[in-house]
Amino acid sequence: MSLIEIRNLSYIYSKDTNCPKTALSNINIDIYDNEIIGIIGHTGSGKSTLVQHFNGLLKPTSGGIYINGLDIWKNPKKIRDIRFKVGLVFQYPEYQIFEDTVYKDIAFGPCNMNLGPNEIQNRVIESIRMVGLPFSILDKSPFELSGGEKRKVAIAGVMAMKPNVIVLDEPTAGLDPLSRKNFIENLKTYHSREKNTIVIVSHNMEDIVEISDRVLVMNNGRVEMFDRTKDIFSNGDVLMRIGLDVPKITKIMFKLSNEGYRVKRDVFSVKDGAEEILNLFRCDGGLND
Amino acid sequence: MIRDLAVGQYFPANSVLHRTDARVKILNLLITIIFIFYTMNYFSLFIALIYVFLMMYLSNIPMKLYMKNFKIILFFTIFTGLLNLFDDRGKVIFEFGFLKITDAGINNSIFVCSRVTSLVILASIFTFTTLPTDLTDAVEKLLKPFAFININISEIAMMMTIAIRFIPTLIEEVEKIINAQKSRGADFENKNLFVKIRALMSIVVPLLESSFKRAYDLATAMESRCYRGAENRTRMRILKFKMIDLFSIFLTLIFIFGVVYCNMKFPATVK
Ligand SMILES: Nc1ncnc2c1ncn2[C@@H]1O[C@H](COP(=O)(O)OP(=O)(O)O)[C@@H](O)[C@H]1O
Ligand SMILES: [Mg+2]
Repeated sequence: MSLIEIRNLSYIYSKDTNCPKTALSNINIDIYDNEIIGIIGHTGSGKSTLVQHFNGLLKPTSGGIYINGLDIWKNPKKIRDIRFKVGLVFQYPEYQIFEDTVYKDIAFGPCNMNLGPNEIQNRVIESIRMVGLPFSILDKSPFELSGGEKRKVAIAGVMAMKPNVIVLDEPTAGLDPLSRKNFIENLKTYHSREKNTIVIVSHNMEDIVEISDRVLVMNNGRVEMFDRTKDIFSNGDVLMRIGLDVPKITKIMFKLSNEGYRVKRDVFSVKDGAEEILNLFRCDGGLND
Repeated sequence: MIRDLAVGQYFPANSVLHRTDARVKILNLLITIIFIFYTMNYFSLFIALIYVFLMMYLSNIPMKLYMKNFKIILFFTIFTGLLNLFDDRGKVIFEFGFLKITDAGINNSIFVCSRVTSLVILASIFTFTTLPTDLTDAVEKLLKPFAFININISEIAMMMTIAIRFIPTLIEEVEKIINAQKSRGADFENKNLFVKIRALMSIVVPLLESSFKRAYDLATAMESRCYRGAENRTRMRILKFKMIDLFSIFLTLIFIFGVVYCNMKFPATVK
């Protein structure tokens, strides 16, 4: 059975005003337990709108969303329980920090779950380690931190709730390459340790390839493709048509292959790419005739 | 959602009122509000209501939007209406225990409700039909005669423009912050005072922080574009006095005359 099931979901912003805006139309997707799903799509394609349905912040205009087979909007009073099952980290979460110490801010979510003080402390420490920050930061005021550190604190705040599903909306936007790489590594470790499900929205194709099992491609509020990562990125032309990109190494491979060199087109990591190119030299230039 | 509220929102349309000079509209608004509170009997109240309906008709704004604004103040109107219902003077009409409802009380209540409603509708008409930039321009022009008491009018106008400009941005911001804290399980429905305050703090602190940041950014941006006060600045849209403005003033004068005439001619129903 699928963990998250979305059926015929449509969403219209400002429905009852003079300028309604359809942000999602007729979405049908299934997400299974223990998967990592990447979501890509051009700006304004409805990614953020979609992920806000996962934890019940937005209510579908029509259609439904089921978690473990249960309609989350069946009892709207219980919607808060969904938020503990599905943790959502917003785009630019650094602006949502409000407590006077980092520790308290991370503990805000677990406190809302009414956990015991020991459990809260364990979770705060665990999640600060997970995002790769030193413990010394716990007693600082969040307002002394840099933008990147604040972002990590905010992400730790959601991780500390240990949700079954964690949804991250562009968590790496604006981070430097090293932080981004570390972040993706940590996220993978976190995933294998917690055995949870991760949904990550990103514009960085390298990150998406690196981490996701399957990729959901959004275009103008519709699902353009939803398939295994490998299969998505072999459709480079479809992606480019809707304003997206493939990883740089894949692009190089496409170019080489178009020039007539015998290389594989489904290469997504630099290591595999280098291997392919070395192979060319090993067997006499590799040109087709 | 909060952002769907129609308060303070310009509604683009082509109507007599949209084309009327903002200065004239401000003065009309102030004067008519004063005279609406000066209606003393049902005849003058009737004239005021006719004026309000005429304005609604002239504004070319869908009824739906007025209803929305009206819904927001409905509770307030009913509450003040109820308070005014109890008046010691006059003939008793109903009596429940110690509560007495008199004819004077009923009159009071009707007048208060109609006045408050008219006020809100006229104010909505004004914001629906006036561009924020025209509004600030008009305020600047109208305040000009007071320049001698050493206030910097163009500066005030600039502050108003900025404030108006950032209302939608702040609303958006609040919405985002609320959603983010809800995602962390913040409980905005809880009755417990302590929980409530904490939930409120989780909105206010980030909002203040980002507002300050925005203010600094804006100041930097203005300075890097050499903003040195708005004195002698020229305008893209120039306010000009037209026939339509005369028409608008004429309507207001008729309204004032009607109210004053009825007040003198007929006995007062409310004090
Ligand atoms: N609060 C809102 N009110 C009205 N329209 C919105 C709102 N939020 C987003 N939209 C619109 O919905 C569409 C999808 O936006 P969003 O989900 O934020 O896209 P993405 O995250 O993929 O960039 C966009 O066209 C955007 O303009
Ligand atoms: Mg987005």
